[in-house]
Amino acid sequence: MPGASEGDWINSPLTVIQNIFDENGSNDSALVKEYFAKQLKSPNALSWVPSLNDTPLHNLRPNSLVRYRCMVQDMFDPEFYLGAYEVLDTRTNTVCIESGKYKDIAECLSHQRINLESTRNVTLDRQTLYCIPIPGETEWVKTTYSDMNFTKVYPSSSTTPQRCKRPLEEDEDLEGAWSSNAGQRDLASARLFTTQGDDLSSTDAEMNFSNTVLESTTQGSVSNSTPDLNFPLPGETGVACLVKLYDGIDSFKVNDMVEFVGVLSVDPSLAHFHETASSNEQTEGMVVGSDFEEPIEEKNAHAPPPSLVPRLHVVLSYKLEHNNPHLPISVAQDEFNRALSRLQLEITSLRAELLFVFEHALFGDSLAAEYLLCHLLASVYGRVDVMPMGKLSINFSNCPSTSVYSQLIHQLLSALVTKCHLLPISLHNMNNLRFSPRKDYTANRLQSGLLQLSSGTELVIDEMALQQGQLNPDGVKNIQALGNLITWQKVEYDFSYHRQDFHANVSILTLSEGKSILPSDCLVPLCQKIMPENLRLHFTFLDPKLTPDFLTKVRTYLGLTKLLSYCLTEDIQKVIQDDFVELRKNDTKNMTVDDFHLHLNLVRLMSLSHLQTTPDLKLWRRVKAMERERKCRVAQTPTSSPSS
Amino acid sequence: MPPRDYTAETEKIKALLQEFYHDNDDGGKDFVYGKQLVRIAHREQVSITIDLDDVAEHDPDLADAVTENTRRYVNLFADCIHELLPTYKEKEVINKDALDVYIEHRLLMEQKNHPEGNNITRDARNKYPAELMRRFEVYFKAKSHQKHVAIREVKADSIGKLVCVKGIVTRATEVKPMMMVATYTCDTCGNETYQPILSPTFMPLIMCPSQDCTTNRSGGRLYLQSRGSKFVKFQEVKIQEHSDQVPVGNIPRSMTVICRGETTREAQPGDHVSITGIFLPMMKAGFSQIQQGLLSETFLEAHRVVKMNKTEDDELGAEELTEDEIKQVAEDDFYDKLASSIAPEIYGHEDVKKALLLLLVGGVDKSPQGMKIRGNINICLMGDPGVAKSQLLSYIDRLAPRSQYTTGRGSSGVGLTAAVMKDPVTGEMMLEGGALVLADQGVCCIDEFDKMMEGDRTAIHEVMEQQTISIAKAGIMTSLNARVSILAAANPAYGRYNPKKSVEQNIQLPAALLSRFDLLWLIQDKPDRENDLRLAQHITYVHQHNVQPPTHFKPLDMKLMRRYIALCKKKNPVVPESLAEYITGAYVEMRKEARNNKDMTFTSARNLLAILRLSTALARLRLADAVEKEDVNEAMRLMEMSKDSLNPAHQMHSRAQNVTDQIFAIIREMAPSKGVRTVKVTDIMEQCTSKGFKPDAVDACLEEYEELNVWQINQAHTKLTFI
Repeated sequence: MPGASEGDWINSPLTVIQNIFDENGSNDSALVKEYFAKQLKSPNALSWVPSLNDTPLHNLRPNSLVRYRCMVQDMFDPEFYLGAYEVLDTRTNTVCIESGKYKDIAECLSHQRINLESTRNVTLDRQTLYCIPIPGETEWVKTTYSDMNFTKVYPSSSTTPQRCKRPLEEDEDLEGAWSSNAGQRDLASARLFTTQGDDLSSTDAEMNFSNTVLESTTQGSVSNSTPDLNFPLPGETGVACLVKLYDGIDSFKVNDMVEFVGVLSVDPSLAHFHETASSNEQTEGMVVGSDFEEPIEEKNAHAPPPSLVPRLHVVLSYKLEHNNPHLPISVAQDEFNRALSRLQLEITSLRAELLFVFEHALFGDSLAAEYLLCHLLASVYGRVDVMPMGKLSINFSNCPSTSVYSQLIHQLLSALVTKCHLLPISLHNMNNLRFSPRKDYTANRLQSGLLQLSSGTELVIDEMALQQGQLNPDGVKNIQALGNLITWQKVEYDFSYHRQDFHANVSILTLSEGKSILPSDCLVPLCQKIMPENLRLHFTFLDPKLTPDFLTKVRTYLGLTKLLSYCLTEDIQKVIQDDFVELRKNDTKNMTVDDFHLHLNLVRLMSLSHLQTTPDLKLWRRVKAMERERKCRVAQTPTSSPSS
Repeated sequence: MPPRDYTAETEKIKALLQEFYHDNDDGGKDFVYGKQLVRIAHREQVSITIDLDDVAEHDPDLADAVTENTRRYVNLFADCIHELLPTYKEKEVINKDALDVYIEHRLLMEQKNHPEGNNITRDARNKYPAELMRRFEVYFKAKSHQKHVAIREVKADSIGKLVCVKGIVTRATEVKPMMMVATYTCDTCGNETYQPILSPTFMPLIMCPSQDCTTNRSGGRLYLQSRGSKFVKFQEVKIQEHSDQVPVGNIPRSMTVICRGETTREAQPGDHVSITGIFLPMMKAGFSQIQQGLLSETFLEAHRVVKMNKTEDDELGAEELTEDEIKQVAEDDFYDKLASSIAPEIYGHEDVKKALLLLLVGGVDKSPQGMKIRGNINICLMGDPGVAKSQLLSYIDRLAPRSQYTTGRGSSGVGLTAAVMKDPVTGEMMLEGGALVLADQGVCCIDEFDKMMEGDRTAIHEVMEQQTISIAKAGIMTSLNARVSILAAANPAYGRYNPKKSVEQNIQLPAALLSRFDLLWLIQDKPDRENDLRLAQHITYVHQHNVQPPTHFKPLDMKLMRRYIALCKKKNPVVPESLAEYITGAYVEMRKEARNNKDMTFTSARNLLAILRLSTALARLRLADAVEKEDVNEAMRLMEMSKDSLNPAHQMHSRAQNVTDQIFAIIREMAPSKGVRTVKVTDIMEQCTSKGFKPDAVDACLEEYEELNVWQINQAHTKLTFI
């Protein structure tokens, strides 16, 4: 635990940085990095740094050290600033050099003056990233992270001593409509599906309610006077942030998940309100060419008020492979292996229990439950040319034809995975939402689209919401974008003058009545063994199963498994290859190259689901049997087109 | 670094301007800058571009200094030129505009008022600023070997230097006048006062600073004179990186470019440009400077804006192939090697790949006496679902320098051909090209060719032979070029290819359209032990190691392929007289053969043209100027192979097929032509056995056609009903 010195480097990091600068006389950010890395080396040190994600901005001290878990949404052009500048003390008439790094505003006392003409000033460049909270991050992830924080920064006036970790009121309302009205988060997750009293008939009303919420939020971004924060998913909240990077610019990509540690800067003068800016110039003198300045849109996008979008000057950054609070940050740590061996002890029972939960949710269909488990573990682990490896998108057909079901499935999955979003592809949504991000040249920024998601996001597509009707050109493009994402795991960003593919890693689960209009790797028609009268009631039976303890285990399990390495041994490979030849000899039609890819993929996921890094023959046979049964079901369901 | 001695530099510059020359073709000396100075002196030229190559030739030190501190040297050069100009004046200059008159008057005034020389009594403010008197602009052209850098490479250390960037224009403002020197007159003493303006905003002067007013304390007011002020054309342009300069997963960066004077109006949004300019921090004045804190905006002051078109840009990479590369390509088996480098991830199908290679290279266009005979090769791939047709198509789409990928069910309203659209803003009618027009002189890959819309299908007839698209819509009548090679992929009509039916029936496309394809390939998914095992190994390898398995040959790099194909396309081989006979002979032979055995395909004069196209493409591939017999043979072999792929049942069950067909014919005759078409199975048996067919053959026939849904047999197996 950082003891006495804690106050120094957390509360006034700029003084520390200036000291380092004075001592070494060099402006190298490596030294600063080294110092802070040393301070944060002890295991729990990071949790002493307040987090922007769960602390309201007004409770954080300006120019203090904070951390921020986020996704890179956009990259701005580099910024040129004075890396070192000369300060003249008018009282003592001495001159000193100050470091201009890690700050936006050169603060000086009334008797000091900055000499902008000095030859000793150094101009340097830094990179600005526009970051947003990780889209689709599920509630439990946020709560767990915030609970892990030691520090709660209270406002100095101590007016509201309550823990301010849930500032998102409207979110709670929405949540409250679905699940119990429990104030305590942990209890809420324990009673995930318990509905309020006897609202058996009010399901439709709720549906309408949630729909209106969705729509109002999408429209809200237009009508709101506050700048559009560019969140990809409608209805998301949180703090967006302009992150200033001093080195290692090239290591960051769009859609990366990163945890930044840096100096918070919220000086109100950073805001470029267009009214004030223009009036300033008016009073100052004649404007020679007003076009010389950037358009208002660009100013608003690049210099929003810091009370909404704070600035963060990064001293340290950690790239996140996952955002699962139950897992150690990196795979290399011993902690990871310990967690793995702990899980391995009880994998059989855990897996069985999890499958039971899925089976219940899928109306007693055990085959579909296995596929769902595989789907949750799937993640793109590599690309061969353009083909992504390791993805498994599933289409459950034969679902009950009501949107309540997909909401319930989404709720169940949100309790298990770290990032999850439900997308009802209603005609309205398809025609009006923006799926692919687009560069807006007037504002000079990347307008986010629904498919700008970080790696490992679970996207539940509800095709039951689709009605007959007309798709407009945007709708067609959106459907294409979704199809591209499913097949190639890439999203095409529109830069007007050219299009650029960005790789994605998004698991997609499609729920539909018949075969979905979207492609999928694997079509599983549900075989309903139970036909519950009331879906909500049906799902409440799961609540006793989903104890906090069980949920923690499952969350760890799902997160850990995705990070496991996997390999095929020579002898298994041989068996599989011979089997392929044999199967093809018997029935060419049912064993195409694509089928073989699917088999290999499934065997990988199945062995991972048993926490085995190599498959054995038993699993291979199991996979073959699963695929046979699935094919059989597919063949039985009536299809409109003869070819698959 | 010690401060430079700029007076010495001035001398150097003057020497350069006066003395620099290129050797003329006829041995004389070509004074590059001297000539320009004469023209500038006569007001016939406005901008003078100093080529740094020339400067480096004259004095390498000076050139380096210019690149390092360009802004300073722009002024130095301008001063030098200004001083030199009068000496270059050869004749009296006619005043072109008001400013010229002003300048003349001012000069006269100065001579009159201060004959003894300048700056004795005059206040500095009242002196003519240099900018006001100059009517020329100085620009630098970077050294030719200075590479274009990506926008993201322009960092803080480039400030003040001359940089070259390449990019695409995303925004260009209108060209507006910007004040360079403000001229004021005093209402009391009548003196003119000048204020050079360097920043985007300025504070107008109010009080007259002249000696008259200050000593008399008359408090003369100044009024801005727009006619006496100097304005310069001004435009702000925003450029963005090219897509190929952006690292994977990054957002393209952009940069502000400020164009003044002659560099304005050079580019419009969407243009690809290369810009040489000085990277400078933006001057901010007054309060906004403080507000900005430590930040400073930057921009590129354009010195040279060159518009590049996209193809030219591509050609930058397509210099002559180096020795090594030619060696890499031109090995003995280069034909096989090139072919297997097409879609290396797809197994086998060597002949298909060869055909695709020829499609990329293309045959030679001929136009004897105005009749146009296309050289482009059209290929149609048919086959069962899941045999990598689409992968082949998308690979070709990526490989071909100019191509369009579309599906038969054209997703946009424009479709394949062209559409007439009404501009929502102006209400004008305009033509919007479809995939076929956009792919002009390239390849158009059409997936799901069989599911094409009727309108497009008729249009494609014209495209495939005449290579044009005629449009007569909404009063617009025109013919657009569509010199495309069509690569189509089609699925069989009944899900799988039925070898017992003809090609037309299988893909439900009219023969007229099919005959326009030079080659038709049927790719079938047939179990084959050895091949399957290799396939399985391939796939498991891919899953295991995440990369394509190493093969005995290294597929050629896509860029190299592209350049080699571009090279091939430059050749125009001819068919020598001696070969003509051989080809006609072969064609006659083919016709005869086609007549003899009832073929699934047919042979027409189009096939002869196809052979010619394929053989010229092969000759092109060899970079030869004449077609050889070998080429013709290979072309015929490919044609033969493509036909073979269509008649797969030929060798294996030709006899059995004949029997079933005969039995089917008997049964069809037995069915009544009206009403419910039922036949008793016992009748069939009787009839067939009487004609000498074995009962099990009849049963086989019954079963086979029942599977094809031609008829149904009832449960008791007594009655047969046609559907």
